[in-house]
Amino acid sequence: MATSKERDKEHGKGHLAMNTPPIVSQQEWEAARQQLLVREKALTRSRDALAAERRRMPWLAVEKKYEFDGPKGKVSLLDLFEGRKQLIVYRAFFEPGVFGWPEHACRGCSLGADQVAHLAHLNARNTTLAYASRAPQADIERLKARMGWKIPWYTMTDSFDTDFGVAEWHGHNAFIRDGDKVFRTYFINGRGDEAMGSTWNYLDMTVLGRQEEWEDSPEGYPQTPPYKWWNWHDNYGAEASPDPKWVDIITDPQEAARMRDTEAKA
Amino acid sequence: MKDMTRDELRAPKIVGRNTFQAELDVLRVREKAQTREGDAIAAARRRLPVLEVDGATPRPPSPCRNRYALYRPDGA
Repeated sequence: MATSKERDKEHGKGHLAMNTPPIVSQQEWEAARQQLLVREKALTRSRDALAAERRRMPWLAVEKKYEFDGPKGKVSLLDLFEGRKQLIVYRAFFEPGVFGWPEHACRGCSLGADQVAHLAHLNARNTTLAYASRAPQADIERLKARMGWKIPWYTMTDSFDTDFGVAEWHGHNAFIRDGDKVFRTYFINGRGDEAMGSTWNYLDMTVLGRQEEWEDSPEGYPQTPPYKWWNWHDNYGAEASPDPKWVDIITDPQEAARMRDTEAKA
Repeated sequence: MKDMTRDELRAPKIVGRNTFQAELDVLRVREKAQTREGDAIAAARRRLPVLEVDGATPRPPSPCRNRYALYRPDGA
């Protein structure tokens, strides 16, 4: 076996010191890819089906009045929704006793925070993401500034972590509210947390899902056509209803392209 | 978006902690199977044959720019 020094040298030259698969023609490569694509698509469908099952989970009423510290003082679990319908709380480890304290949060949690998508898209689907740790707010504010994180991040003050399965390990809890009543609707942890960060995976763990018409959701759940609600992250507030040109594009992409070409030639 | 009440959503039933956990455990089996399948597919990707590409060949322009191409989540 090559020593690490030798391997580094190989990498430096741009050669891979390992047993690589055969080099094939374009046609053979495409055939192999198509074969794997069947499995890829099956997995996508099975993910959609599992998300549909999540949406049919029973709800757990949250009766206890949990309290958190936020940037502006004491807040309740209900406040964490920021007025939206749904809430996802990620339990991040940032507190005394965690490797990296007080300069850094747990490495895994930090990697996760780095891959959180722009929250405007999730928020546009009536869903709020929040992080929760045991560290005081002053430390959380410092950490957010240092790492460039914008996620709302609260300090747990009670048994929230124990009650929601995140006292010892990280995890995502999903909630929905009906007026002032809060319900726990799903929980993802372990390697399931690896996939979190994308707008789609956050929405897929919620009761309402992506809220797009193609989804298998219980009758009466809010749904709009796919693409139509998509916007630039800095434009959701400015554009109350979808731009008609964008609607044309998603309704008939080919017709929209023809019109665009005609306009360009004119 | 207008907030919908539980009645309007015809929401699933509300259950106690034990039932909720039992339901979670049922789905957890599928969640884990899916994670394993994702791992297996990634392992198969690492074993795909390799296509040699001429690094000097210019890439074709992005279809998003030229044709407003969109993928369809429903697979249509």
